[in-house]
Amino acid sequence: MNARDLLLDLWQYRRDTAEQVIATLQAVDPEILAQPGTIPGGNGDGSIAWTMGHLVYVEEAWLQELRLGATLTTEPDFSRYSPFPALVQTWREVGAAWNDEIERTDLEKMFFEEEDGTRPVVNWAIIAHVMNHAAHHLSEVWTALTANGIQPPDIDLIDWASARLEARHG
Amino acid sequence: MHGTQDMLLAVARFRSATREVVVDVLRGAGNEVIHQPGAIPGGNGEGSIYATYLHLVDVEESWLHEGLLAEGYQDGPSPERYSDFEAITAIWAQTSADWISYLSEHDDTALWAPFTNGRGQRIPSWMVAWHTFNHTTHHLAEIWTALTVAGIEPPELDPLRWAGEQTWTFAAVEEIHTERF
Repeated sequence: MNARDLLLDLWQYRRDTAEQVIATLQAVDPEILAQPGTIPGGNGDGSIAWTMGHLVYVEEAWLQELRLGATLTTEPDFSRYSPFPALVQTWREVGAAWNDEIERTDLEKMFFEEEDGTRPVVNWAIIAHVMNHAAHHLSEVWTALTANGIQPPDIDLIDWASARLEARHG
Repeated sequence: MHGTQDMLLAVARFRSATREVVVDVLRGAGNEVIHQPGAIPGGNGEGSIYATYLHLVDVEESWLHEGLLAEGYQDGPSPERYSDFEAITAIWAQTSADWISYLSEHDDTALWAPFTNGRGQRIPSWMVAWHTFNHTTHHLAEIWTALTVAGIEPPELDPLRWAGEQTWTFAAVEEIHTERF
C-alpha cells in the first residue's frame, strides 16, 4: 500500500460524502439554497447554491488543469453547476473522473501553477488541496443549514471507514 | 514516488504554518469577539469561537496522545490545562510539533498498520491523522465564517500557496499489504 492507495481511499470517502451532501440538500427548500448572504463572506452572492457551484467547479477545474499540466484560460460553463440537478450530475461525473485520474496519474510530477514557472507543487498536493477545499466549503454549507434550523448529518472520515467495515465484515 | 509518510508530514507542516496564522488572527480579534456566544450556529459548547478553538485543539491532542500513542484516556479537556486562550494556544503549538515528530518517526509500514478505533475496528493509522487534519479544517471554516460576521476579514489558508514555497523531497515506497477501503 502506498500514497496512491491513501488518496484512493480518501477519494472514495469524498464521493460517498458527496452523496450524503446531495441527499441533504435535495431535502432543503430551494429558496433556502438560493438565499443570498446565507454564508457571510461566501462565494458569489453568499448563497449555499453558489458555494456548492464553486466547490464543484474547483474540483472540475483542477482536474482539467492537472490533465493539461497548465492553468485553465477558459471561463466556467455555469450551466454545469446550476440548477441543482445539473450540479449533482456534474459532481458525480467529476468524482468518477478524479478517481480514474488518481489511479493513473504521476503523483510526483511537478505542476506549475503560474505560467512563468513559479509556485510549483506536486500533483498529489493538488489532490490533497481539492479535498481540503471541499471540506472547508462543506463546513460553510453545514453552518448555513444549521442557522436555518436544519440539522445536517456528520460527515466524518472515521465514521465512514467504520460503516464500510461493518458493511463488509458485519 | 512520494510515500504516505512524506505526504502526511507535508500536510502536518502546512497545518503548523496555518496554526500560526490562526493564532495571530484570533489574538487580533480580541476577547469580546472570540467569547461571543452563538457566533457559530450549532457550534461546540455555547457556540463561541473560543469553544470551537478549544475543541479543535483538544481533538488534535487527544487523537495523537490518547489514540495513536495510547498514553491513556482523558475524559475531555482538563479545565486546568485548557484554562484560557494563551494556555490553549501553547497546547496547540506543542501538539502541532508532536504530530510532526510522530509522523517523522513512523514510516509507511507503521502508518498503514492497523489502529483499533472506538468500535473495535481496525483502520489504517494514517486515517486518524487525516481525520484530525480534516476535522481542524471543518472547524476553522466555522471560525472564519464567524469572524467574517464580526466584521473581520480573515486571510486565506491555502495549502497550494504554502506548497509552492516548499522544497520537495522524494522517497521510495515499500509495498505494504493492508486492507484497502
